[in-house]
Amino acid sequence: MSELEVIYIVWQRELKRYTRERVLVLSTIFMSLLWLVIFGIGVGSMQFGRMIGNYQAFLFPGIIGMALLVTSIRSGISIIRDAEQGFLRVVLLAPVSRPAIVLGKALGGSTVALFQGVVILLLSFIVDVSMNPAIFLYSIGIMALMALGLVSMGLLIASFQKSFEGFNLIMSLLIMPMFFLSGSLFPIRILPGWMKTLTYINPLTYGVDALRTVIIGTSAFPILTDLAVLAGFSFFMLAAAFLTFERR
Amino acid sequence: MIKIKEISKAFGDINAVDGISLEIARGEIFGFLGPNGAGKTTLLSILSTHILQDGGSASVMGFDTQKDAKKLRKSIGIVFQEPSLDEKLTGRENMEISAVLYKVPKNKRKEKIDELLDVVDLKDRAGSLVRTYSAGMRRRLEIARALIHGPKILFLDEPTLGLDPKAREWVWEHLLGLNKNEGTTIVLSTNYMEEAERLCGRVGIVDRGKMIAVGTPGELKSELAGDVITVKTKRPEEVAQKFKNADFVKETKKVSGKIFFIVENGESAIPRVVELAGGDMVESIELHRPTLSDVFLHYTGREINGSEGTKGGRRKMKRRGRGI
Repeated sequence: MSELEVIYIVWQRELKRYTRERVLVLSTIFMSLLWLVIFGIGVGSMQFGRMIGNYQAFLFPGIIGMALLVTSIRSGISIIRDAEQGFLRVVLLAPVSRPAIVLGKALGGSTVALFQGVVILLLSFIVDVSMNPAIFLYSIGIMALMALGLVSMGLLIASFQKSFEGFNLIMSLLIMPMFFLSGSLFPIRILPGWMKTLTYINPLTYGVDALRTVIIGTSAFPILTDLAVLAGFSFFMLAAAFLTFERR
Repeated sequence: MIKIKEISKAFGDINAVDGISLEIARGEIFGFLGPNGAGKTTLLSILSTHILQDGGSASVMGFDTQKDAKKLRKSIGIVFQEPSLDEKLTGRENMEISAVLYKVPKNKRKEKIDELLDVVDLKDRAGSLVRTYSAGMRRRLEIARALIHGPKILFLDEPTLGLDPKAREWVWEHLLGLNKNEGTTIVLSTNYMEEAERLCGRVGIVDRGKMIAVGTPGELKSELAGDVITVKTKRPEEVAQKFKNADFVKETKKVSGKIFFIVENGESAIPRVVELAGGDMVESIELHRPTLSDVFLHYTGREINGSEGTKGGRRKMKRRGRGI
């Protein structure tokens, strides 16, 4: 029972810290709007965009994916900051089981990322996609699964990093490639073979594809494939995060 | 209460702790005194299960630091040398997290937190973010947090480092009160000899990973059996040479720019020291009763706050800790 409370208090801490960082919340929303409106309208006006139909609607699930990706990784690697502040040591030296702490942290980060995703989801009217309660709820489920995997991946990366300065490096070496190679910006079928391969091994691809299935009804993979890959990804990332922190 | 047997720990080539044995009894205030890099932090880190030793064994309240880490953690409170608070949370929120982590029963949490915040004079500021706290307030909050589960033993690593005199005095008084009223065993590390003399029932002088002397401050100082005369001079070598056969001097130690003499009767020895050294050699002269710093000098030939300690040991330890 008390381990549940540990999970809860660590989760709650993530939320408190997040709500006290309004600038970060707003900057992610601003970045998403920039992509959605400026990039979306720009590319949508090109011949390529018209070929797809409503390009902004096509882009929309991809931008949700990007917001989840950035927020999740940031939440995951915030554990480096906890370490620098010395707070992590207090938590790790407490007489509690490590998985409870990792799980609390992963769930907290996921909740934060999910919230960010929901805000973007609510902006759907900008890009002219039809939204109803069912679509909304399915999307939330998919986003939750994506966030859990991505936050756990962030935690895993953090356990190999020593300082927070690495964040920019992760941003350019991981987040940008993952975003560009996720089928968010262009349909996978038109890509050359090598890019296709990279896109296929990217877990974000399946999250974006699942969201696209639910929100605009087009997809590259069957929804069950998407969900199976996402579930497997989240499971393995979380398990790996448990193991690395148990070792410390 | 605490048993340490032949503990050793190396970081690369540096033997941070090199075969230390010690027993600390219930209700003691014990201080590890030594310069930076002497191995004090490493020793405390091993006792609080933060890092694992390479050799030897240690137990706290009967719990082995390696085998019973979880049970051991439950019975101790720790105040780290480096800051360890979440600055984006309030003082109270920091306390609440530790209350949960240390399994304080839910119905007693609020009462306990209020009580401790009151003790450390932070009740009025409990709702403010820690970011806005002064160094003294943070240290007080860390002490309150370490006591959340009513530990029988409290470990403190350099508890007053970086605090102003007023905040330092506050910490000393409260630690003494805690020891007296609650019977809490306190184990601390320090490089302030004043702190060791003021607080500690017994002191272990640590240098380069070894414990070179253990005893009450009085016992340690009485080993010098005399007064200490410090002569400031530009040519310590030359001056020391002149005292080679002076039988009123019991011991001579040279450090940069200064010579320490231990003499039986300080007052009457001063004129003889000046005469023998040669008046023009002596820049200034000072006489005092022995302090723990002199004890350290006596054993090591170096000053405790001199710059000879190796900081590298501590930094490395942080990286290789069991949990950062």
